[in-house]
Order: sequence, then structure tokens, then C-alpha cells
Amino acid sequence: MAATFLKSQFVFNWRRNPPAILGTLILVVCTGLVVFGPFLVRQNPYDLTQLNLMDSFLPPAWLDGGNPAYLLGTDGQGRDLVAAIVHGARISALIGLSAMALACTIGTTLGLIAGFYGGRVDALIMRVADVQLSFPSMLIALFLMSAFGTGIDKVLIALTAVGWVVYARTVRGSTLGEVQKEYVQAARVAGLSNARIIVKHVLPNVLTPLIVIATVQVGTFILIEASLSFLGVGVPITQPSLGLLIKNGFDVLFSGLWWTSVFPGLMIMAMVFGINLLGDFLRDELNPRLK
Amino acid sequence: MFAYTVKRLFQMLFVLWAVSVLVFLMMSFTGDPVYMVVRIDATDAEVENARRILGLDRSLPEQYWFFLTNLMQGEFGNSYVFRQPALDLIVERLPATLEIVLVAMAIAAIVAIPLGVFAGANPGHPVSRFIMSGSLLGISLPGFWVGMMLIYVLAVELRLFPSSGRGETLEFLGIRTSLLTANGWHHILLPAITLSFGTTAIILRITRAGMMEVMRQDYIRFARAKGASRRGVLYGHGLRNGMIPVVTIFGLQLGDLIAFATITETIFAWPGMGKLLIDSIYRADRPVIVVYLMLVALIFVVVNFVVDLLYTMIDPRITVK
Amino acid sequence: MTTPLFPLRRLMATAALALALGTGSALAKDLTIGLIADAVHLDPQAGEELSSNIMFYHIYDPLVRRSADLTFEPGLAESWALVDDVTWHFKLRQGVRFHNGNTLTPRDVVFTLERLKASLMSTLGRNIESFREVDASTVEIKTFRPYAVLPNDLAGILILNEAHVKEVGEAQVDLQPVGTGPYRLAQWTKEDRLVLEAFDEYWAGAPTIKTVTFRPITNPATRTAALLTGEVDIVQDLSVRDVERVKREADYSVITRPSLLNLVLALDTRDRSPTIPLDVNPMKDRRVREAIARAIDVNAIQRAIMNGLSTPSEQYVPATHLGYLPGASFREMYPFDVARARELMAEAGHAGGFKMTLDATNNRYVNDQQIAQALAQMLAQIGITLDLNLMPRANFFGYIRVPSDNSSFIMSGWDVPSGDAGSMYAAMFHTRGIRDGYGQVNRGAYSNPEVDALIIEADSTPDAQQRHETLQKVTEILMKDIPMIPVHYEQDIYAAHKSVKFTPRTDKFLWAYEMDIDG
Repeated sequence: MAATFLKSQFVFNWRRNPPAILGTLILVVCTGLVVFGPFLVRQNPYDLTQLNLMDSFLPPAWLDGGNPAYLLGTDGQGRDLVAAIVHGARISALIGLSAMALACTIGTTLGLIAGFYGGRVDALIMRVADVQLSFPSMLIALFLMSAFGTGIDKVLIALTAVGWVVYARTVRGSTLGEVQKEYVQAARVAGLSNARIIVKHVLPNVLTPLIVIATVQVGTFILIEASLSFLGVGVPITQPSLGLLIKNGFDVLFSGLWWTSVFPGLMIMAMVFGINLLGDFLRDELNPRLK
Repeated sequence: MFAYTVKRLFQMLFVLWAVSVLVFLMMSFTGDPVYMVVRIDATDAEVENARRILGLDRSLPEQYWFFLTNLMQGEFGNSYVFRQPALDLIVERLPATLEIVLVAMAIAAIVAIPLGVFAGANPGHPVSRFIMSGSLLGISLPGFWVGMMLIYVLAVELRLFPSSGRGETLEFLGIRTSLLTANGWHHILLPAITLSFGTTAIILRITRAGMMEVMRQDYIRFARAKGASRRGVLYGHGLRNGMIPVVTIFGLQLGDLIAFATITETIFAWPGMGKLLIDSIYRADRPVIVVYLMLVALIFVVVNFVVDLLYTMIDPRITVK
Repeated sequence: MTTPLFPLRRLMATAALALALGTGSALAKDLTIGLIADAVHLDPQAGEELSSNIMFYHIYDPLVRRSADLTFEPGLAESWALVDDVTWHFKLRQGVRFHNGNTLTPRDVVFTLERLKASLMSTLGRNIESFREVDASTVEIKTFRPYAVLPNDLAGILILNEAHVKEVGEAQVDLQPVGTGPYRLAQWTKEDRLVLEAFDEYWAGAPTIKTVTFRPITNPATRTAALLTGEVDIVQDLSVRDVERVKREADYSVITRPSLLNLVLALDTRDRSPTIPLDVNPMKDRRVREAIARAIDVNAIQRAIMNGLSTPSEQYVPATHLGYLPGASFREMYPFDVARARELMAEAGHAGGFKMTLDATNNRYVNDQQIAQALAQMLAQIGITLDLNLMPRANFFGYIRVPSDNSSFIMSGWDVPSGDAGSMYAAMFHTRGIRDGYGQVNRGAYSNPEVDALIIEADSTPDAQQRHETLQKVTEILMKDIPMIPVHYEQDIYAAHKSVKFTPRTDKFLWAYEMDIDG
């Protein structure tokens, strides 16, 4: 009943909010590109045998010297930029989403444990969180990557290590509030196991604020990954994300080969902008206090 | 108040210690720094000799113990690559980094606060909506990409700005700064603007939120009813109270700005400590990385502490606990 | 191919001119040079990399000077003579002054060599056994065994002033260098600028250019921009992609010169290879090594990746070096020929190919990661699946170091500024682990008793011509055996304002003493 009401109110507000509509549209297009794009382009940019070195650095098709086969031109390896961007966006999005999922799961679990049990466990978890919060996440990620070396798996670990804190803190806060409430006390008296109380009763009530955090975090992660790759400590060159494409483009930007960095940059911007527009709307809708 | 300060101090020491342990542990994963200093065709004996000169022939716990005991005597260790005290290398470059961070922050404040106040005071206005969406775009841009585009358009194509470096510096109170020469300002603008993008967007949003919160309060309505001018109410009452979260954010942003300065400095060849960090990472120069991270942690903790104190000054109702 | 985004640039040119004042160049014979990195040391015994080396040779002098084209000429030693097979006498130039006013004495040379032996750079003096002061102008140096190319080695050893080092203390030498060179240090703001001023009492005559400023600009794109905006007069390592753009500018010229750095591929020749999942290492078979050599299209790499700015290597060392064999060329012996390469693979029983990993850097050599990717594309044509393991240099050299337990196929660079193939052959092709100082970089574990014997023979003759002929025999064997595939020499690419007169040196040392500015 309540859910349906929220939903209709939600949809009603959405329809009256042009930025939210824009964000949704951008995300739908980006999702389409990321999910179906790789099947639509004719080149697999990771398969080095499909690339032709002789086609390197062709400009976009509408410029002099452009080849209609390569709409946005090619990079230094003869990689079709459209294919590179579609695949790169897929890597960026995959990293952003998976790292968010990992960070959210780990952070929420730790937050529930800290808030529910309190005492030493709580102190330990929160102390670690404090230490971590004394550092900008970009620096932590940069440092971890410099120690691990490049690789998608390592980027995921670094981002998860950076991202869990915000969930742990939020969940711990709400859990502390929930634990005081009568229904939890009642469940305890009724002899339900702690695990059951946490999962069945506390968890559902602390999830709402996480939706906004998670949404925005995907965007943040995409940007951090791009920055890491730009510095050369992110993904390996054989699996270029958007950030790495920009980095490769940067090396040749001043030679007038602007397309190799401008288009991947626009793609990142579109993705993150869409996410943030939607996140902003969700924030207003789900949690007016969090503005 | 005293107890609070002591508690913060201990927290800080704990943070610094944790950082040093972590960095030492993590850095044992990276390449062996000795190969950065010997010639490629060095024989095993020559490699061992270099290892001994650098103190790398000891086990990791031993190396850490040496590091700690030296630390107690104010020695932070020597860079493997430069063979100079790591702290000196960083402190030497600190002014350059603080310079772009502060200018970026000033730019962010100048742009963001008026726009934020406007958007907060006129929530439904189409211009406000435009400002807000624009600020989201600011958060969504990869900073390094903005820097590249600025260099390409303004420095390379239009030749309005220099593309890199720090320009002329003058010594002032013992610190070399480029903020005292026209040429210095000419050099600092592009990197500072690049760095300011994200912060501008965040401060704008916080200012707006603070304003909206305050504008709902009764005393604002009273002041308006009393006949105070709109501008007077906005900046006199509204902004003063809406500023509290903004001050906090400035503090938090300082850390982020220092972190992102690493990238901006790399793009603009700005001779700051962020560029030193990136170079040291490439060179596996552990002492420099350790000291850098400890210094940033220190700056961060101190700034947060100061922010807490400022809090109480802006809003006497809040007391630190 | 290039299309400016902003055609209004011409309109803005006038406005830009006004702004460029104050950063103006070439007025009072002052020169600003954009380097790829800041110098790390000014103490020549604390470490070395190109930027530091450039500073070293402005500030200090060696006993024997290496000229721009790799011939050797008197430096602080005005003459030298061989007393017996292993003993050399070097006669010092008289009246040479250090920047602090002290006069050069044999004592300074002895001090320099003593300090060198205990330093991180002891490699530079590894062939020197002992040394002493003979009289007020003569230094005696003994080598472990007859060693014809000692003067070449000495070109890398820069002479310090004993009094100065003792006065300022060991660590300060790095920050307050004093030498006999044509320039002295005026200002060093790390990562920002290093300013040298002319030392007018220089023994070979006062320098023409009075002030030289070096600015480290790591990013190639930023470096090009700094040149075109007039912030610097010369840039080192112009990005190959920027060559066309700079050539279009009327006021700038692009200057190229083949470098000494040979990009080489080391092939594992052990029985089993770490990254090849087979019981027997296919590359033990010479035919497979030849197939790999033939499958690599060096010309395509030159055209598409290096923008034409590389020189395919004929041998392991360039033609200027001792040990070079005239007329022999890898490119003619094993031309790019995929069909023949496939045949060879089939003959060796590997028609189906195999899989292995290429270890390479991603920030050390020009376009190294692009080349690695191109190699993967090319070897796929003969069935070899190449996994790329690309590392920053901080990890790379430790990772591939002998005994190379993780590597089957390694791409790295090798340059021999001493003008002699002997040191390279000794380090890279002598059987490893049986003789100290030999085979320490033999990453593919190549072992050929004949080669070993010839290398030892070359190293024990005091006669340069005889050494040359012996090394040529090694070259001939190696080219047949293919323990390593030479790919290309990078080109050193500089761009400079047209008013600057300079000729690049083979050793890449931008030396302001040899430069001039018009007007």
C-alpha cells in the first residue's frame, strides 16, 4: 500500500523534474551502449590481431582524411575509437558497479556489526574508519595501486578499501537508532538469534539512505578509476578503460590528435553526469534530510 | 576543551603511526628500489653494495625499527633516489602545492558562495535549477581532462596562458611564492582553475543547502517582516548561519585538493609535492612516500581540528565534545 | 591528418605576442632547455640518469673527453701512454682551476677514484685495479688485465675537488657541486629550474652562452607546448607525434639523430621456460628463434608507431662501435616474411604455435607499450599468443634480473656509450654464473663456449684493433644464433628555436658549451 503510494508520488515528482529526466535518459543511453554496444561494433579492441597498425590515428569520419569505417577516428594502435569507447565505458562501468557492490556489502556488514554489538568490535571498526577518513580517498587508492601494480582486480580492491567506510558509518548510525526501538527489544525478548534480528529487522530499516550513497559512489568510483589509469597505475593497457584512453590521448593531444582524448572524456562526463543527476533526485526524494 | 585537545592529539599520533606501519608493509610489495639506482649491468656484488649503502640489506621489521627510532630523533630518513632527507625534499615543494590549493579554494569560494546563496534563496527559479545542474556537471568532470582541455584551448591553440611550470617566484617571509609576481599569477591560474572545479561544485551545493535550511527559520521571516532589505537578510542573517557546514566542507576539501593536486601538478609540471609523490611512486622511493603520507595525514587532522574550533566560534550554541 | 579545433588562433597571435613578453628568449645569449626530468644528483658518484649526466658534464670534466660523435679526445688529461700491458700514465693539464679557485692536482684524481670505488657508482671503475700519484702532473692507473678501452671508461669518471668535498661534507656535494667544467651552479629549485652560469676561467675558453636554464617538463605534450609558447628554446625528446606540428612552425626546427639505445628482445634458451606451458622450451630451437625474428615487421613499427623516427637495427651495436661487422644486417638475414616464419615453426614442430608472456616496460622507452602491443599483433600471425606483462621501470629491472625466473621473452633497451661492443657482449652473452662480472645480464641464459672464449680473448688484449677483430667474430656467431633480436634504435628528437645553433650529441648530453645563439 505504502509502497505503491511512494511509487506514484515518486514517479509524479520525477516527471516534474527535468534534470532527473535528463539524467535518466543519459543513463538509459549509456547503459544501452555499455550492454549492447560491444555487439554492435565490428571490432574487438582488445584482440590485438584485429587491429591494423596502418590505420592508426585516423581523424573522425567527417574530417579530411577520415575513414567512414571509423566514425570517431582511431587511436595509435589503429583501434576504432567508437569500439574503444564502448568497451572502455564497459570496463569503467563494471569497475564502478562491482566496487560499489563490494564496498556496500562489506561496509554494511561491518556497520551492522559495529552498531548492533557495540563495545570493542565497534571501537575497532570505527577506529580503522577514523584512520582511513584522515586521508582523501584518491590518495589511498593511489597508494594502494602503486603497491599492487596495475590490474582490474587490483583497482577493485583499492576502490573497495576506499569505499566501505561511508556505508559502515551510515549503517552503524542508523543501527544504533534501530537497536533502541521497541521492536528490536521485543524480538530479543522473544529469543530470536542476533543474526536473525540483524537481517530480518535491522537491515531493511537502514537501507534507504544507502541507495543515494551507492548511486553517487558509482560515479565517484568511475572518476577515481579514470584518475588512477590516467596516472598509469590503474588498468593495464591491454584493457583500456576510459581513463586510460584519455591518458593515451593526452600524449598526442598537442599534435592535433584531439579526438583520442576528447571523445572518451565526453563519455565519462556523460556517464557520471547522468548518475549524479539521478542521485540528486533520489536524494531529494528518499531522504530530504540528506541534502 | 583541554581533554578534547588531548584526545585529538592521541588520535592524531595513532593515525600517523598506523600510516607508517601500513606504508612500510605495502611498499614491500613494490619493486626493489635498489634496481632504480644501480646500472643495468651491475654485478651481484655491486647490487649488494648498493643495497647496503641504502640500508636495504636489513629485514623489513629491522628497517621499520630503524625508521621509528630515527623518527624519535626527528630524522625521517633519506630518499633512496635523491640521497637527501625525505622531509627536506617535501617541505621544499610544499609552498608550491599550498599555493595552487589555496588559489583553487579562493576561486571556488568566489564562484560558489554567491551562486549558492542565490540558488538557496530562490529554490524554484529556473536560473537556480541551471546553476544546480551545472554544479553537478562540475562534479562529473574528470579533473585531469578539464586540465587537458584548458591547456589545449587556452595555452596551445589560443596561447593566452603558459602551459606549464611555476613562473617567477619571490621570497616572502622565507617562503618562495609565485603569488607576488604577475608572471607567477599568469602561471598559476590554469592549474588552480582545473583544481577548483570539483570543490566549486561541492561548496555551491552545501551553501545552497545551508541557505535553504536557514531561510525556513522563523528569524529570517521576522527580519523580512521587520522590513530589513532582502540583500541584508541574505548576507547578514542567512549566510552567517548557513556558513557552518560550508566551513566544515572547506576543511574536508583541503585534503581532497591536496590529493587531486597530484594529478594537476603532473599535467601542468607544477613543482609541488604531489608531483614528487607520483615520481616517487614510479621510482619506488619509499622514504619519500612514507613522509608524504604522514605529512598529509597531519595536515588533514590539524585542519579538521581547527574546523571544529571555528564551528564553536561561528555558532556559540555548539560546544565541542 | 591533423585538424586544428580552433582556427581563430591566427587572430589571437597578436594578443599572445604581448603576453609572451617577459618570457622572451634568446636575448643576452641566455638559453632555456626543456628536459624530460629534473636532475636527481649533482654529485657524479651518487647516481646517474640522463638529466643528471647532462648537468655533470657542464659542471665537471673527465680525464678523457668524449666528443659529440663518440671519438675520444684529451680532457683534463692532456696525454696518456701505456707503460706496460696493464699500466697507464695520464698526464694532467696544467693550471686547470676548479670553480672554487683551487688548482687541479693528481691528488684530486686519486681522491675521485678512491671515493668512486666506495660509492654506488663503483661500476664505472670496475676495470681499474689500482691508481696512484706519480708526480705533480702524472697519475698512474692499473687495470686488472690488459684492457684496451680504458680511456673510454675514464670518459665516464668526473673529477672532483678533494678540498671542496671535505669542506662541505659528503652529502652536500649533491647540492653544492664544484668541478672544473665550463659552467657552475647558480640556482637549483627542484622540479622547477636549474640555472647554470658560465665559468669564465674554463681551461678550454670561456663559454659563449652565459646562462643556461634547465626546466624539467615530464609530459611530452606539455614540453611541446612550452616550446611553442616560447617558454623554452630547446626541448629534449620531442614526442614523435609532435614532429609534424613543430615542423609547420616557421620559427622552429626539428633535429633528429639516431641514438645509441638499441631496443632488443631477449629470447629464453633454457630447457624449460617460465611462461611457456610446454615441457620443452620451443625457443631452444634456433628455427623458432628465426621464425620470431622473421615475423616481426620492424618497418611497420617504424612507420606506424615511431612515425618514421627510428632506425631499424642491423646488429647489436651501431656502426661506430668496436665489434661492428660491416655488411652484416639482421634485416637482410631475416627479413620480414610471415610465410617463411610459419614454415620454420612447422619444421620445428610448432605449427600450432604456443603461448608465452612478453615482459616490457610501460614508461621507459619511446612508445614501449605500443611496440609491445604491435609485437603481440605480429606474433599472432605465426601462432604465438603473446600475453603482455607491462610494468613501470621501478618494478621492471628487478623483475627481469638474472636468473630471470619469471621471464621467457623480454623487451628492453641497451646502449653502449663507451663505443665498444665488448662490455655488452660480456654482460649479455657470456655464459652466466661462471665468471664474475660476465653474463650478469644474460637473461635468456644463452651459453656458447666459443662465444665465451672469444669474449675473454677480447678482454685480455691491450690492442684496440685486435679487440675489434675478436669482437667481430662474436658478432658473426651471435647473428647466426639469434639469442636476441635487435629491433631498432630510437631517434633522439629535439626541437629548437631557429636562432639556436646546436648539434645533438650521440650520447644525448645537451651541452651548452658547444651551442650558440644568433643575434
